[in-house]
Amino acid sequence: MIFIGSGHKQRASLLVVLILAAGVAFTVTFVVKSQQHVATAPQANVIGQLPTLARPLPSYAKETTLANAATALGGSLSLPNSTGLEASDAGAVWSASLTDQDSGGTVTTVAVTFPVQGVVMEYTHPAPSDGSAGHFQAMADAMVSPGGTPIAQVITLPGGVPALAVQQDSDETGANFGEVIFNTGNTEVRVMGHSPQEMLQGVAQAVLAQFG
Amino acid sequence: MRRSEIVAAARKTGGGLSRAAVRAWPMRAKLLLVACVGVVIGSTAALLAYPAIAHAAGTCGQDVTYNSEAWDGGTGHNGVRVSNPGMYIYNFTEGCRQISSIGSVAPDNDEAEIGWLNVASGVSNCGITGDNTPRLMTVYVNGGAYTCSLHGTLTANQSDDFSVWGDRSDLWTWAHNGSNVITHTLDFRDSISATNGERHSTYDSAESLFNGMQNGTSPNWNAWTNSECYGGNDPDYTVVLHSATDISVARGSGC
Repeated sequence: MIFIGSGHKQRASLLVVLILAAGVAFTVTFVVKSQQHVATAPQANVIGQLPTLARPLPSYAKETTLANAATALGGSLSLPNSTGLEASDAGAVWSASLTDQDSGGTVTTVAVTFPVQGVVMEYTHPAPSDGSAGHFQAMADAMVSPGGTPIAQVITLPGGVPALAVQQDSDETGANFGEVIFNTGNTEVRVMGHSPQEMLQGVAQAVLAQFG
Repeated sequence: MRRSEIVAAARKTGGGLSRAAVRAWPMRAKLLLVACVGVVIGSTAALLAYPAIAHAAGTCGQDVTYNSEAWDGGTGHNGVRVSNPGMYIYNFTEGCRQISSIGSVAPDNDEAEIGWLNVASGVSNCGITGDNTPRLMTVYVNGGAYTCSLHGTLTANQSDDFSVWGDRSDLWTWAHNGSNVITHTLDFRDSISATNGERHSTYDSAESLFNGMQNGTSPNWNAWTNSECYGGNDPDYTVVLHSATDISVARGSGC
């Protein structure tokens, strides 16, 4: 019984116990409290926000109708009509246009959401690239996971159409859409969703078939 | 020590807590009492001190990002630059992280962005564990996928030249003080130009200064002819438009 002794020793022992108890309580309380907070900053450092089903396009996009979206694209807007994704499932439609200060040309992106399936169809006209396998490969070269593995690859859709397939939840946020990106005519099409690549590629093939 | 012994000891002293009575308690009862008092003191101190200590240690609070953004009104460009004097590099003590950046955002929401990032000590972001030092940051969103990279520390309390632009083949270049940092092929060229003062928690500062805003593509840059508020969700900081080319983010009223 080391605590039994002189009054001085007892007071010292009590003081030690008080300090130890207070220290342990402080540490435990602080750890429990801090677990309610985020030790990392998981959100992306971006201007605006990354695309979501609710808001797929940037802040300067406006909600519109399918008819007006087709007009803004300068032609028809071919929605998928198979693989469990039909035009009648379409929800909110968004449109963003820019007129280039130097060239005077206008580029427009339309996003059609399919809330039930969690899919977004995007159309950009004129297409921002030639849609070649070389362009998509150059894009893929810049797309790697935090661990350094590629997260996108060039694939070939029916008819020999090159496309870029992006794995879902594979970037630094761990929450990016899976995508299939390809050109048809002078329009770039993106099929986006938190869905298996097979499903996204099936939708891409359906759209491609309708574009003819 | 059994509870009955403590109760007996308390009864023996008449149940009071006078110094004489407590002195007569068995040593184990005193230890138990002191330990309980210690727990109360320690946990209370932790709850009271937590905000200040968490601030110093680096915590990110709720998973919310606060942005205060400006643009030149929505015309399409192929790049953006801030130069002469440039973007001011602050070095506040952050609770989570602070960003000052400029960027180009395409109609399909892909983007290219450059600026500085200051991550609080002990907080992980953009591939590092922070040490409260401003670093050169590049960001791009390509095919909807996000990539953030850091490229060394920056000297604080001065303004630097930052730029990012794309060429006709969608090859984008990020540059700092006239030196190219990285180049990558993205999927756009036409894009809006914007400034961004960003923070992650309300412990952070969002103070930013962008003086010398330009549009274009290297080497042909043109001064912004207009500036407007683009967006923001910060409850404390707002964009202040001093002129078409001089923009800041500060506490108080703005837009």
